[in-house]
Amino acid sequence: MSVPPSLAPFLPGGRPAPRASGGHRPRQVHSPRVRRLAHDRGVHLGGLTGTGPRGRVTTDDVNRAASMAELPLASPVAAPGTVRACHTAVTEVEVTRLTTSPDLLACLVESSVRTVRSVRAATAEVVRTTVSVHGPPGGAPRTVVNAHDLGVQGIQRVLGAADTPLNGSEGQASRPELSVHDLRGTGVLFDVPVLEDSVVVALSFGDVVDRPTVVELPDGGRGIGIGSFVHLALTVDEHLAGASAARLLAQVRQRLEAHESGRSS
Amino acid sequence: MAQLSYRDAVARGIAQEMRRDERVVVVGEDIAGAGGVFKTTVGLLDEFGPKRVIDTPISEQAILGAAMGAAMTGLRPVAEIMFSDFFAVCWDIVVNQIAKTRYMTAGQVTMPLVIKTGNGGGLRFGAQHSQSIENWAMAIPGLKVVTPSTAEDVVGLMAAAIRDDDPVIFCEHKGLYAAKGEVPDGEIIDTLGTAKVRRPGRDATILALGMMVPRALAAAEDLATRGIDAEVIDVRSLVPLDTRTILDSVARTGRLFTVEENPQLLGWGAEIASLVADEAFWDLDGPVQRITTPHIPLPSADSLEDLVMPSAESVARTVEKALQS
Repeated sequence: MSVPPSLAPFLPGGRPAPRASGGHRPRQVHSPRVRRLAHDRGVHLGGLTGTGPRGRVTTDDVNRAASMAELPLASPVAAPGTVRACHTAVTEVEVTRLTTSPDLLACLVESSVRTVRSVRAATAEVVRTTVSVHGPPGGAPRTVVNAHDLGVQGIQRVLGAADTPLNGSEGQASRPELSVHDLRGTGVLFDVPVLEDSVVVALSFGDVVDRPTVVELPDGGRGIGIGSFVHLALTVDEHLAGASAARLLAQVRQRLEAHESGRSS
Repeated sequence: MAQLSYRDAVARGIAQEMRRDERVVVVGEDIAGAGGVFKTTVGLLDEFGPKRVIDTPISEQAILGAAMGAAMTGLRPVAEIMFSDFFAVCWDIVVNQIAKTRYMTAGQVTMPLVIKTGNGGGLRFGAQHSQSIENWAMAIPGLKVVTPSTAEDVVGLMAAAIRDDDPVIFCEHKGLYAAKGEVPDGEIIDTLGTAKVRRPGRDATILALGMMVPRALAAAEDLATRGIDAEVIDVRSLVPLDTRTILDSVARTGRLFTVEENPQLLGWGAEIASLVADEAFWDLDGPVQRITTPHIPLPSADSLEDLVMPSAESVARTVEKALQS
């Protein structure tokens, strides 16, 4: 076995230390300098192709990736005349009970539909509500037509059916004005979706996180228990009359809390 | 500004301080009438007389014992240990007395003593007259350790060492004695604990000491022809150490190489590698690499001595290989 020069003086007659086999080393090794720079500039190293010796990621690679990320997106949304101004509000809500049943998504769709309908009703606009449901990641978007006619169980049934889009009630399919984005299982708490086409309200939620929280004890006192929480991000087109992201999200939250406590009607 | 050899710069630095301060005296073997075996004290006897430039018997213990007593009682001696290898025969006085007196007297007794010594290899003097002993000295708390690489630095750092109230081991590289350099006219006073960037660069930091400095510079020029822009820092002073200059450079280049003449184990570069791991780990773009003499006694045969000591070629080869792997 060859002995690296750095070890030679320690081994007068001794046994060379085993060297790490090349086959067991991670395919890409990043230097501390590259790792710190990537952290500082918010670059995900796993997605980079290194241009250094043996494909190593260099500081130039990280800087280049960071600069690219800072360029304005060339998406249709940013094209002149099609820019849509949006507002987003974010909140956290407890869903300890809802996570134990499969209906968290259905509850959120139902709560969002009711909220959007309340805005529409107040302005005497169209009362038919179609929802586009995205997620979990990897799956095709599903559409629930006339969702306002459905309760939680109905929405759950429609979402569980293979042959979506389905109508909540008889009627002609319309373009969705609400989209719900389910990011569970991705490690992401929420995102801010682009409002596509006819969509004026988008609700995004991600992983449910368990953490200590204040709970009510059977004797009426308060203690510390484990609760499940989810982040909700609601984005609204600012041209939607009578709507503000914060107010709509408060309504969604209120409705979801009603489901959580079993007080929903 | 004048061209001055490294050896003449030693005498100039000592003479500068002897003119300024009558407490400065020089002691050592053959340093008076003969002007030093390496001719580093030529002219001092003529200018300052036998009471201040004193030949001693061939006894390193006697030289340092006398110098230590003189320093404790008000003089500022410059003592010569002809070959730094001979520190081994007077090590008790250096380590247990000279280095510790100021500490053990709670600062009541200072030790303004410079021990100048011919250090390093490359001159075919064999295993007992060629060692680089900076790392012996820097391991002892209480000693300062300086190794200049240019004539100008010899003058300025000798002045700084003589004016310092602590014992300073002043390592003169025997292989540089004949080297000439521009030295400004007039009084020169340098600062202990300061490194110098000899060649700025972006891609790698090369630290060198003594005779390894010109070799590192030659390596850097060679690397530049192949697109690698190396920064060369002359460490000059190991204790105290200019950590700021070193860490700043590593922060810029991300790569560190040390060029050490000493055998590998416990060389000064190992201490700096440890420092950089502690203070600049997140600046590193690759492992710190030390280029040293192997852990062997230095051979006297020309070809073997040349083979084992770091050369401009071995430095350039190591840096290039590291930056391409």
